[in-house]
Amino acid sequence: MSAVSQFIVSNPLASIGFISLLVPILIHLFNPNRGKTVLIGNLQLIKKAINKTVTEVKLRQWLLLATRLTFLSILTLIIIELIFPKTSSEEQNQAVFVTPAWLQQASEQEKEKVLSTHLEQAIHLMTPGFKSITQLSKQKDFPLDNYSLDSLLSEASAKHLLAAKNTIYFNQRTDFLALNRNSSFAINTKETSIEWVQLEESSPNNNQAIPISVFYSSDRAADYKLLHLAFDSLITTRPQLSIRYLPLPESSGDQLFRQLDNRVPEDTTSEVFFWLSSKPVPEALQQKIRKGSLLFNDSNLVALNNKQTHVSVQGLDFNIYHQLPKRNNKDFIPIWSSPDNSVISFQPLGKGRLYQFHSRFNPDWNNLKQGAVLLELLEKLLALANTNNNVTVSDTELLVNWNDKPIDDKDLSSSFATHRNLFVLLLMIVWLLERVLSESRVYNHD
Amino acid sequence: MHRLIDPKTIARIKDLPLVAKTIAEGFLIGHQASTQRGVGLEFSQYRAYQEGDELNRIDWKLFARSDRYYVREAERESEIDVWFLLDSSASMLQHSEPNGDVRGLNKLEYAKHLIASLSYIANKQGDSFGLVSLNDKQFDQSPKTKTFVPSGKGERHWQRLLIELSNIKSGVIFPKLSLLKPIFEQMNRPSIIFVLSDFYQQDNEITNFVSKLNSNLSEVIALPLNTHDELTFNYSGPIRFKDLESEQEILVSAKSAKQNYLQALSNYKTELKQQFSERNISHYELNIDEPLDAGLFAYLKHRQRRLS
Repeated sequence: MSAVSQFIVSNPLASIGFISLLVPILIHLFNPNRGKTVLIGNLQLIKKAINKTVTEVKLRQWLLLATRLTFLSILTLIIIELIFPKTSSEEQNQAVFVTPAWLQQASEQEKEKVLSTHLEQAIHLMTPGFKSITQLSKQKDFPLDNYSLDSLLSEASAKHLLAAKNTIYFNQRTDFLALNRNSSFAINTKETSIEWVQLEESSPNNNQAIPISVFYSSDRAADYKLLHLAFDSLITTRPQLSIRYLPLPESSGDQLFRQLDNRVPEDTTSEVFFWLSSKPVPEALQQKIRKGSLLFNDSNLVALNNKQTHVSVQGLDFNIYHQLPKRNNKDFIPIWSSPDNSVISFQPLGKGRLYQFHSRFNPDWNNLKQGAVLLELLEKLLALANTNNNVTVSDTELLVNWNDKPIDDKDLSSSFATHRNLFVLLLMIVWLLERVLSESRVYNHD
Repeated sequence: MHRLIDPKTIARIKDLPLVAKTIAEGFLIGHQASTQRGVGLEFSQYRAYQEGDELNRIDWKLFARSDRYYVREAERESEIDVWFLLDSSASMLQHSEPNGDVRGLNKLEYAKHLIASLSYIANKQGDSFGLVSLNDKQFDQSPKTKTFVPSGKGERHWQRLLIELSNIKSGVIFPKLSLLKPIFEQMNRPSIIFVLSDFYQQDNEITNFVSKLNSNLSEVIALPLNTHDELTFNYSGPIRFKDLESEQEILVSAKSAKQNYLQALSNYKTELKQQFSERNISHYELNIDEPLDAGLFAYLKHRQRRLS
C-alpha cells in the first residue's frame, strides 16, 4: 500500500477531505457558468475582438481545476495535521526498548541519563527502580482500581516483573503503570504511552525472555501497527531466548485488530487485557470480561505451569489447550491459523471475548523468517547485552529514532509536519492563483 | 426640470398609452417648439409663459395690458407626416444582463415605448403619423403578421398605433430592400421618418434603406439603440456569446477580448456615423439602459439645437 493511501485509510478525516476533491471536478464537468451564455445582436464585433482561442479558454479552465484540487488537498492536509497532530508528529512514533539484561547491567546513572534525555523528547523509558519516576500506589486515578493489585503482585515471582495494566483502551487516553514487588509506577505522558508488558519466569534459566513491548497512542493507526508487533513478540517470545519467529504475515496484526473492532460492540467501553499468568483470572477481571472487555490469554503458559486443560473459576470457563486448539474445535473460533492449528482463536464469554493465543514455540517454524523491525532491533540489543557488560547509553540511543517501517504514513505525515509553514505558504500561493484564474463574475452597472 | 423615469420601472407598467403620456408630457410644454411657424397657423389660445418658450412667441401687447407674459398658442394644419420605422429583427431583443431579478427593457421594448412617446407628441402637435415594423416575417405571405399603420392623425389613430405597436413581435432578420418598395410609395409627402434600429447589418442593408428614404421631401432621423453592456463590455470570465439572429455561438474570454471589442465597436460606430453624414441623415445614439424620458429629453434638446 502506498504511503498516501495508507495515510488516507488511517485518517478518516483525510478520506472526507479528499472526497471533497470531487466538488471542483464536478463543478468543472457540470459548471453552468462555464461559458455563461449572453445573447447578443451582433456577433461580428465579438469575432473581431477574439484574441484568445477557445482552446486557451479551456486550458485556463483546466488550470483552474488543477489549482482548486491542489488547494483542497493542501487544506485537507493542514486541517488533519492541526486536528490530529499526533499522527504527524515525528516524536510520537519514537520508542525506546530496553531489555532486562540491559536493565540489570546498566548503572543507575546510565538509566537516569537515558530517562532524562528521552523524557524531554517525549520518549519514555520504563524500568523499575528509576528514582525519577513518581511513585504511585493505588492512586485514585489508577486505571485498575477494581483490579486486585495484590493478586497481581502476588504473582510477581520474577525479579523484574513489569505486569501491565489493561493494555489498550480503544480511543482513550492511556496511562502507564508499571509494577513490581516493591513499588508501582505510573507515568502519565503528554500524548503517548509506552507500555511494556513483560513477564519473566521465576526460573533463573528463563530470565532472558524478550519483553513484550507495546507502544501506542490514541491514534488508531499506530495501534494497528503496534499491536501487530506485540503479537509478533508474544508469539515468538517464549520459552527460549533464541530468536526464531513465527512468520506472521505483515498484515496479520491489522487483520486481527480489525476483527477485534468488528466484534466489539461500539457502545461498550471495551478494555483489552493481557493475562500472562498461570494463575486463575481474578474476579474483577472476570467481571470486566463478562461486561464486554477482551482478555488475551496465553494458553500455553497456563498449560505449561499447571498442566491443566480446563480452568473454571466462578463460572468463568477457560479451555486450556496444551496443544493448539484444532481447527475443528467449535469452542474456539480461529482468527489466525497455522496450516493445522489456530494460533490465535477466540471464545465468547458473556458479552466479552476470550482470545487465546498460543505462545509455544513450534520447532516447525524454526526456519521461517519474521520481518518485523522490532524483533531485529531487540535481537541487536540482546546481542549487545550478552556480549558487553557495560552497555552504554549511546548503544541504547541507537534505538531512539527507531522507525517502524511498516507505518508508511509516518514518513508522509512527519515530513508534512516539518514543512507545515511551507505548505501554508503554498496554500496561499495556490489560492491567489485560483483567484487570478477564476475572474469573479460580477457585472457592474454604473 | 424633468423627471427621470427608470425604464425598468416602466417595464412593469403594461398601460402603454399612460407611459407614453407620462414621459412625453414633460417635454410638451416649453420645449417642443413648432418648426413651422407662420403659414397655416391659426390662433387657438393664450397660455402662461413657461421657461424655455421663445421670446418672440410672447404676446407683448397682452403683456402691456396685463403685466403678465402670455404665449400665443396656435393650432395648425400640419403638412408633415411623422413615420416610425421600427426594426423588429431578432437582434433587437438584446438587453443588458439582469441586475438582480429585474431585467431591463430590450431594444424592441425600448423602441416601442419611445415610439409611443414620440407619437404622443406628434399627435399633440396635430401631425399625421404612421408606423411600420421591419422584419423578414413582416413581408411574408400572411397578412396577419403585418404591422403597418398608415399615416393618420387624431386620438383614435394614436390609439390604433399603440395597439399595433404593442402587438409587434420580432422576426429574424431585416427584410430585403426589394420587399420594402411599398413603403417608399407611402412616403410621398413631406415626412419626418424616425428609424429605430440597432443598425447591426450584414451588408449595409439598413443604411442603404435609410438613405433611400432620405429625399428632399423627407427628413430621416436614425436612432441607433445600444445597451449598456454592449457599450461597456462589462463581462468577466468565459462568456458564450450567442447571436440572436444566426444563433451562432462563440466562447470568449471576456477580459482578454474587452479591449479589442471596444476598439472594434468604436470603429463600427465611426463608420456608421460617417455613413450617416455622407447620406445627410441626422442620427442620435440612445442607451436603452438609461431612463427613457432622459434619452428623449436629450434627443429633443439636441434636435432643437440643430434646427435653431
